[in-house]
Amino acid sequence: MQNTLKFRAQSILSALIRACWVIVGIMIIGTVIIKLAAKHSYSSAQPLIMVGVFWFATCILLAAIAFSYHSLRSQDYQLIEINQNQTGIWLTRYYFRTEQVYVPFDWLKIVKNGSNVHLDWQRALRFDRKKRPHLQSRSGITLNREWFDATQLNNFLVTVDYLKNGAVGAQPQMAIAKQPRKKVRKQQLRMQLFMMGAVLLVGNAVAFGSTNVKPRHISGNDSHQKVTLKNNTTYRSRNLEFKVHHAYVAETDEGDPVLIVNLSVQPRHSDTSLSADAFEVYRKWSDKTEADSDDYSEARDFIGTKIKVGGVNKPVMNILDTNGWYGDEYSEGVRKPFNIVVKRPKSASFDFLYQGFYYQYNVPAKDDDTSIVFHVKTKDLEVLK
Amino acid sequence: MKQLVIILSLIVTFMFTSVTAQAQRSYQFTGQPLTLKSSGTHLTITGYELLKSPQPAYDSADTNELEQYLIIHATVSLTSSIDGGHDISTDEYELFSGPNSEDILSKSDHIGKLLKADHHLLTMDSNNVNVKNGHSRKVDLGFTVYPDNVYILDADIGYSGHDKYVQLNQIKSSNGVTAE
Repeated sequence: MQNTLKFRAQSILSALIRACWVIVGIMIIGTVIIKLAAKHSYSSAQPLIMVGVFWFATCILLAAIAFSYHSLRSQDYQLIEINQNQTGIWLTRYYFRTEQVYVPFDWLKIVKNGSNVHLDWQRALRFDRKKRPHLQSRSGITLNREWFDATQLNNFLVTVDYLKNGAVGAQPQMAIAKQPRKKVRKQQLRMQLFMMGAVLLVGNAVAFGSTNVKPRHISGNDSHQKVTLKNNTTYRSRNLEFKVHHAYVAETDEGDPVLIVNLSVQPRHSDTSLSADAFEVYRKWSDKTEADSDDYSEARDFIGTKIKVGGVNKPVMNILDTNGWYGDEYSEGVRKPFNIVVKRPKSASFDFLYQGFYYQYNVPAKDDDTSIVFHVKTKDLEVLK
Repeated sequence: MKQLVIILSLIVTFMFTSVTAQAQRSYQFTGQPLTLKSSGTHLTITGYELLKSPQPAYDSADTNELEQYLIIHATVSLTSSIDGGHDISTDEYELFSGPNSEDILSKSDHIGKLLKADHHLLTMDSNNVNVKNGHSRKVDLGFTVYPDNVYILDADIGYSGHDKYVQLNQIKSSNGVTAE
């Protein structure tokens, strides 16, 4: 006689591992999504709070699964037991709270169906945690054969069948089930848990790190990044992100050679600002020339300039002026490409400076932006059409 | 397993709602009256004009003296079920002229006197204009701008925090740098 029906430990374990992997994946993907979505948000606390809440929710889920697994294991994976008087079955449900249901044989109906076995009942007695009975109306569960040892399940069904029919006739013959290998399982679990932890740590670190470029610690020369000015390239200072779309050579209606930069800007903190005063041209930038204000020209002098295009003088549109914008005045709704015009020397190359902070041979203060020195090769510039 | 799916979908829903809550509203003014609604206060933009004269006083940043006055004509009406009125405040409006933010004109710009009588210019440091429930009021919003810029009105009606952006004009350009 087979009086109990137990889950196959191996199936439960692999299901547990599968569920945990899914949650690990969701944690990493969710972190990436939150970080990407909140990338443009000014407040750095908001994405952190969102990631925190998200992780808390997934951790609760993990804890619930671990708790169910623990109570299932302490019951030796037992799902159904025939009661001592052999009048019905005790069914244990392992959800967030373990519950026992008693179903008398008279109310029980078993339907076998391919890979599933359905246990349906008209009524049952559900016992809550304080062992108080509640009458449960029509319900049932579905047992998937995958989750059980085939021999044990068959034996159990035969036993139930025999007892349901009033235990008439000879006791049915029980087939002997094979013993599962135990040692491999433990090692496998340990291995999987270790890998999960590693993937979770590395994955989240990458997800968090890759989408959240923290302001670097600025020391000495890092206060001035040195880059080459290129079309369709993004440059980052501590507070701003510059996307240079195009850089042009041109001449004003008064015959001055100028550099025109068409770019858009994205603040990386709410406490930033931008104006034409921040842009200057140097024949050759060095920390000394900047400290001495020995610049060649300033962008502020070229507001409202007309440019020769194919012999016709045309005004420059959307030009940054000396007032520019400050702090949260600037937002996604007004973010559009704009232009900076500044006089250039007629040499083969020169330097275009974004002055993030007022430089006097010292490093920027904590709230100051950092500077970017764009090296410009005149032959690489486009001609306006 | 069913509970797992439910909880996971709840988490995902939570994530997406908190992410999209930040969305902002953008509009394009086409010459037809455009109404922005915010908690019972309606702002209808009926038109705008770039004044050839009078011109703003010389400003040190504007060496070529190109600046002009931009006047936006609008109507504010209140359809709230709540009693009381709405104070139209200059702080609710800001204009972006290209990449530059412009505050609403102040009393000291003296433009009010120069404009025709049918204008209802709202200026900074003047008393706020009150609209009663069920009524509407014509207002003009004035800014100093450069010509050949894209003008975007940023309206935070009633300080709801949900800014609405109205792009007033479009500029023809073959290269994004020079205006035709």
